Amino acid sequence: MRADRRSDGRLLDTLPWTLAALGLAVIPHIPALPVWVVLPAFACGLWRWIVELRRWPLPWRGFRIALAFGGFLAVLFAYGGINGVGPGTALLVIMAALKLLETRTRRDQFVLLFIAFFLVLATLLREQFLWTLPYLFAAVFVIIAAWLNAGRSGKALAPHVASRGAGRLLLHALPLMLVFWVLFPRVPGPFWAIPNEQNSAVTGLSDRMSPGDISNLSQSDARAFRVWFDGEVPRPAERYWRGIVMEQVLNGRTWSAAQVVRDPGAASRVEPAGEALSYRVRLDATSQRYLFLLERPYDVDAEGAFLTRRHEVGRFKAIDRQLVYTATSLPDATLEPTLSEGYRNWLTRLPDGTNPRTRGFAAQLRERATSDRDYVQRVLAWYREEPFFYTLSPPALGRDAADEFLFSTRRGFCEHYATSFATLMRAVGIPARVVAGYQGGELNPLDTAEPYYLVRQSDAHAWAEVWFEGDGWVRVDPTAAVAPQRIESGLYGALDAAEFGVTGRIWRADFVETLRFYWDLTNARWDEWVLGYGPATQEDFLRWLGMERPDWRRMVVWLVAVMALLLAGLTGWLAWRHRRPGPDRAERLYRRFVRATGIPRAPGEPPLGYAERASAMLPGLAGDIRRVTALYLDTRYAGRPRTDELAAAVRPHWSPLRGVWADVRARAGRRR
Amino acid sequence: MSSSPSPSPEALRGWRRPRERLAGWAARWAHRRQGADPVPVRLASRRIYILPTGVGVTYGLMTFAMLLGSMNYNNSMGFALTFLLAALGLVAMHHCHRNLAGLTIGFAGADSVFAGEEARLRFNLANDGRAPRYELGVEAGAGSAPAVDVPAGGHAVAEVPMPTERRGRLRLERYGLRTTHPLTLFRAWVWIHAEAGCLVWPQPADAPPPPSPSTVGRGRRPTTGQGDDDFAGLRDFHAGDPPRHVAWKIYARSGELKSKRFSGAAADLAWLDLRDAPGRGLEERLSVLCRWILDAESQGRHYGLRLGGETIEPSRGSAHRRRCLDALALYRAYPGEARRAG
Repeated sequence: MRADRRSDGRLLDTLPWTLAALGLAVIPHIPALPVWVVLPAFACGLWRWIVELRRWPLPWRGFRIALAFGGFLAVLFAYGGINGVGPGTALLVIMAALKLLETRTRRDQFVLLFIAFFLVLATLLREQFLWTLPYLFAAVFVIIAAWLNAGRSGKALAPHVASRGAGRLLLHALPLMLVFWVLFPRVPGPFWAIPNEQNSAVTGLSDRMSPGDISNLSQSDARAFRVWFDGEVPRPAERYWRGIVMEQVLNGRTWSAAQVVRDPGAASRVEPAGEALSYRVRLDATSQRYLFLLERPYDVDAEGAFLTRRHEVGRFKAIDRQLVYTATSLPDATLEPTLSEGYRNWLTRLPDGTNPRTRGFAAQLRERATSDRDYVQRVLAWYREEPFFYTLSPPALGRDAADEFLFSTRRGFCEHYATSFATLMRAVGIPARVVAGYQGGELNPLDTAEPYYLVRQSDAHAWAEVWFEGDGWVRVDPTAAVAPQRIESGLYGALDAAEFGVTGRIWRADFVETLRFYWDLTNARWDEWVLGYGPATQEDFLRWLGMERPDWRRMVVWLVAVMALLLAGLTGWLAWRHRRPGPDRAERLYRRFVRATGIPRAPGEPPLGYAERASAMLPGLAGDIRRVTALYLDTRYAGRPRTDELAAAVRPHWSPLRGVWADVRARAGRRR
Repeated sequence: MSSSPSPSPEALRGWRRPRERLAGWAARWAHRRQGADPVPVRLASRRIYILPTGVGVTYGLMTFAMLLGSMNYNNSMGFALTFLLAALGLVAMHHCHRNLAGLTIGFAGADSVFAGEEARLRFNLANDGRAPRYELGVEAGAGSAPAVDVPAGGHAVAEVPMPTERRGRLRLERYGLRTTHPLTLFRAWVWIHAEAGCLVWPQPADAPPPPSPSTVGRGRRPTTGQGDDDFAGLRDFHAGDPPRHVAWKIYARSGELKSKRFSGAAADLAWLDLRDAPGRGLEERLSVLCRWILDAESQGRHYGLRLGGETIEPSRGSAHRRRCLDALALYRAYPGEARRAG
C-alpha cells in the first residue's frame, strides 16, 4: 500500500505552476477567511510540494476523508450554512487543499485549476474595485499557463514557452471577450435569492444615535455616493441628504429609527410647491436599507425603493452593492401639514426621569419665549452664545447625555447638537426628531462632460426636524449655529488645523486634492462603464454605436456576426504564423532572372543544365546567364554568399512592374 | 475464425466496446469521404476533425455556471471572467485545429519481430511551417505513441508499440494523428487511409529436437565443404565471415585480414525442410523451423530452406536469415491476417 501512495516525482515540473495558480486565486480571500482555513490550506500546499521533492507517500485515504468531513462541518458551524460567497469560498479552499493531497497525475491538476477559476470568480463577486481587472488577467494568465502544462503528456514546457503560450491565448481571447462584453445581452437578475453577506463591512450611517458612545468620529474620505444633477444645483448649505429619521427615544441618550416599512400614503402627505430638483445618485454599498435624497423627497426610481411613514426612502433588501437611482425632491414642499393627535404625542415623548436639567432649562426658556418659533430661535441663539465647541473628539457622556453635554462638557459634533436640540424641543411639547444623512458634497471639476458631486463618509451629518402646525416638518441644524463653517465648507472648515493633524493637512493640499479628484473620476468611469454596464447602459451604448432599437435578438445576431469575423481573422493569423518559409533572397533573384529570360525552367532541371539550354537559345544573353548562374550556385550551394552581386547582375533584366505581374501569374498557376 | 456457435472473441470485443465500433464506423465514413491517401500526407484543414474532450465539456459547464452566477449577482466582473473564459475556449479550439493543419505525416517503417514480441511502427511527422507543433500523438490500431513535439522546420518520429500474436503480415489500413494542444479542451484528429505494418516472424520454438542427422548433409554438397571442425587453411576475408574465423594473429603481424577455413562432418550444410520439422499443425512446425534457422545462423552454418514448393538456396548471414524468416512469415499466411486500425 505504501508503495502505491508514494509520489513518483512526475509532477515536479508542473506542480509549481499549479501551486502558483492556486496561491494567486486564494490570496485575495485571505482577509475574509478564518485563520483555521488559510493556514492549513497553505500547509497542505507546502506539504504536497515536499512530498513531490522527497518522494514521500501521499497521506492515507481515510485521513483525507476525515479531513474533508471535518472541514465541511467546521464551515457549516462557523458560517451557519454553506450558501453565499463567504462559506462557498471557505469550502473551495478546503477542497483545493485536500485535492492537492491526492493529486497524483498531471490530469488531476485540472480539478485544482477548475477550483482556482471558481476562487477567482468568488473574488470578483466580493470585490469590484479597479484593481480587480488587472488581477483577473494576472490570475487567468497563471492558471492558463499551469493548464498548458497539466495537459502535457511529456516534459513540461519551459517557463518562457508556457508563459508565451498562455500570453498568446489571452491576447487572442481579448478581442472576443470585449465583443462578448458589449454585445452579449444582459438580462436583469437575480433569478434566485442571493444570501445577504453578514460579514461585509458596514460603511454607512447607523440607525441609532447615542452621543458620547463614540468619542472619536472617523474622518473617512471614503465615498458615500456620487450625484449628477439634471438642472439646477442647490447651494452647498442647502444640500441636506436625508437618510435615516430617528424619532424613538430609548433612554436618556439613545435615539433610534424604526423598521423600514413601505407607506403607500407617504407621497400624499407631501404638499408640492416650488421647483423640483431631479438628480441621479450612484450609492455605494452600505449593507443598510436607506437611500439618500435631498430634502422633501418626492419620488424615486430605483429597484425596490419606496417612501416610509417618515419620508425616508428605503427598500427591503439591503444595499449590498452599488445602487443607481434617479430621484425628485421638492425643496419648498410642505412635509406633513397635519399630524394626528396620537402621533403628535409620540413625537413629543421623552422617557421619564431622563435629562431633568435639560427639561427644567427648556421650561424656563419657553416661558420667556412668545411662541414655539421664538423658542426655537432662542435655543439656537443660546447655542451660539454659550461656549460650545465643535470637535470630533468629544469627551464621553453618561446616562443623561443631553444634561451633561448642554451644561458641563459642551464639546461635541453634529450628533450631540442634533440630539440635545431635539430633546430641548420635545421637553416643551414641540414634535421633534433627529435625522441622519449627509450634508454638502464636492464638485469633481475634472469631468467636464458630466460634472458630478462627490459625497464622502466625512460629510455624514445629523440634524433635527421640528414640526409646526401648517408648515409641517422644518429642518433645524443646531450645528450650523455653533459651527457655520461645517455647513458652508464641510467638515474640515469647521475644525482647527490642529485637529486633523499632519496627514490631514497633506491630504487637503491642492495637488493631492487634484490627484484625488482624478482617482475618483477614474473610479466614476469604471463604475459607470464596467460595473454599471447592465441592461440599460448596454442599450444606450449600442444605440450610441448606431444600432437601431437594440433588443436581444439583434444583439445575438451581431454577436454571432462579429465573432465569426474575429475568428476568421484568428484563423488567418494562425495560418500565417504556421506558414512555410518562402524562398530566400538568392532564390527569389534567380527565379526572377529565369522569368526575365522568357525561357521556363523545366521542373527539376539543374541550374547548370538550364544555363546551357538557355544560352543556346539566347546567345546574346549567354554571358549574363553564365554569370548569374555562377553567382547563384556560389550563394546557394558553395557557402560563399554573393547575394549583392547577384542582385546587381539580375537588376538590368528586371522590370518591377512586369515582375509583379509575372509573380501574380506564377502564384495563380502554382495554386491551380 | 472457426464457425463455432459461440461468438468469436472479435465479435465480443465489438459488443463490449461500442465506442470503438463508433470510431471505426466514423473512420470508414471518413475513408469514403476522403479516399485513400498517398503517403506522406500533408494535412489539409478540411480533413481535420475536432470535438471537445471531457475536460472541455467540464470547462464549458463551468463557464455556463459562471454565466448564470454573474447574471444572478448582476456582477460585471463576473461577466468579464466568464467572457474571457468563453473566448479562451474558442481561441483554444482554433489553435488546436491549427496544430495539425499543414503537418506532414507518413509511415516510416518498422522492424520485423517474432510473434509475441512488440512491434514498433515508426511514423515520421514533418513540420515545414515556421511555428512549432506540440503534443502530437499517433494512433495505430490499438496502440498509440506518446505525444511528441515537432520544432518549426523540423521533424520527429513517433513510435507506436503494438503487440503481435501470430506470424504473418501485420497490416494496418489506416492510422491516425491526434492532438489536444493547447488547453486539452478539444481533441483534433485526422485519419490517414494508408497502409502501415510489418512482418511478424513465427515465434521460435522453445527447445525443439535438432534437425535430424538425415536432413543434415542431405542434398548437394558445396565444392568446398565448410565446417567448424578441422582447420583447412586460410583464404582472404570476405564480408560476412564470422569474427571468430578471422586469423587475428596474422592480422596483428601483417595487417592482412585472413579467414580460417575449416572442413569436417559438421561442415555439411543443413537443409531445413518443413516436412522434417516436428510438431502439431503448421504453426508449430514453422516455429521449429524458425528456431532451426536461428540456431544454424548463430552456429555459422550454411543452411537452405524448403517450404513446400518454395526453396531458398543455402547460404548464411543476416540477409539470408532475414530472407528465410520472411518466407516463414508469409508461408500460407491467411489473407485475413491483416489487422484493422480501430
